[in-house]
Amino acid sequence: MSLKKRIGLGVVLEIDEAGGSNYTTVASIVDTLDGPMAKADIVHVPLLGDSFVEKVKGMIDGGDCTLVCAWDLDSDTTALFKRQLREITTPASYRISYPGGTAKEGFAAWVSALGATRKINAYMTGAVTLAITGDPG
Amino acid sequence: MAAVDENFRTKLVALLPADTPIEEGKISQFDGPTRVWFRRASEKTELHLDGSPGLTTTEFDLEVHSIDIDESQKLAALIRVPATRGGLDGFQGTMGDMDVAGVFVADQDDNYQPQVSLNTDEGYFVPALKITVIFDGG
Repeated sequence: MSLKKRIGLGVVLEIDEAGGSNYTTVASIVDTLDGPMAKADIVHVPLLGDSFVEKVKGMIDGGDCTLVCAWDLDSDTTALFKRQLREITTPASYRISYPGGTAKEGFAAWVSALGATRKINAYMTGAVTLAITGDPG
Repeated sequence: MAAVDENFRTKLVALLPADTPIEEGKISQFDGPTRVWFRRASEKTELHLDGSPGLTTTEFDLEVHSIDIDESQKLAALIRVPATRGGLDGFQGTMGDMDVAGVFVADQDDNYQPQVSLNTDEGYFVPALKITVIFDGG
C-alpha cells in the first residue's frame, strides 16, 4: 500500500448530534484537531521466578479528542458545542475525513470540556474536549 | 467592498484636519511641508483547518512628515490615541465600506527606516507608526 504524505489542511470534522450517521460538517475549526488519543490498559502478569516483566493487554480507553474552534456566541459551531456540553442522554457521532482520502475515523463522544480564549488583538477561540466512548475509530 | 488600503485612507481623511495631504506609497511634489504617508506593509489571511478563510490581518506603515516638530507630533497623536478619545488605537466598527474587528497602533521599531530619509529631505520630523487592521475578508 502506498503512502500519501499529508498535511492537516482540508481535514474536516463531522457530527450527527442524534448519534446516528447523518453527518453535517463542523465549521470554523481553527487549526487543531488532536486525537483520538486511545490507550490500552496494560496489566503486569509476572510469575514468581520470572526475570522479565510479562504483560497482557486489557481494555482500550478511546481517550479524548481536542480541537480549537472560532468562538462566537451567534455562530452555529459555538452553539453546537455549548448544546453538546449540556447533552447527557445520547453521545453524538463524530467523523474525521481527509482531503482526497476515502477512509474516515468515526467515534461517539461527549463534550467534556469547553472554554473560550479572549485576547485583545487575536482571533477569539474556544477549546473543546471530546471524551470518546467506545471504539475510537 | 473597496480594498483595505482605500478604506484605511478614508478613515484617515475623516480623522485628520481637512487640508492634510494623505498619500499611499508615494510622495507628491505638490504636497506641502506637512503630509501623511502610508503603505500596506503586509497582509495575511489565516486559514481554518478545512481551508476556509479566517480573519485577515493587514499591517500599515505610516509616517507623518513635517518640518514643524509640534505639527508632526500633533498629527501623529490624532492617529495614535485610543479610539475612545477619537484616535485609531482600539477602533472597532465601520471603516470606509468595511467592518473591522480591531485597529491597533504602535510605534515603529527602532530599526525602521522612514521613507522621507531615503529621499534625503533633511530637516523633517517623522513620527513613524505601525498600524494593524484586523477584519473578516470573507
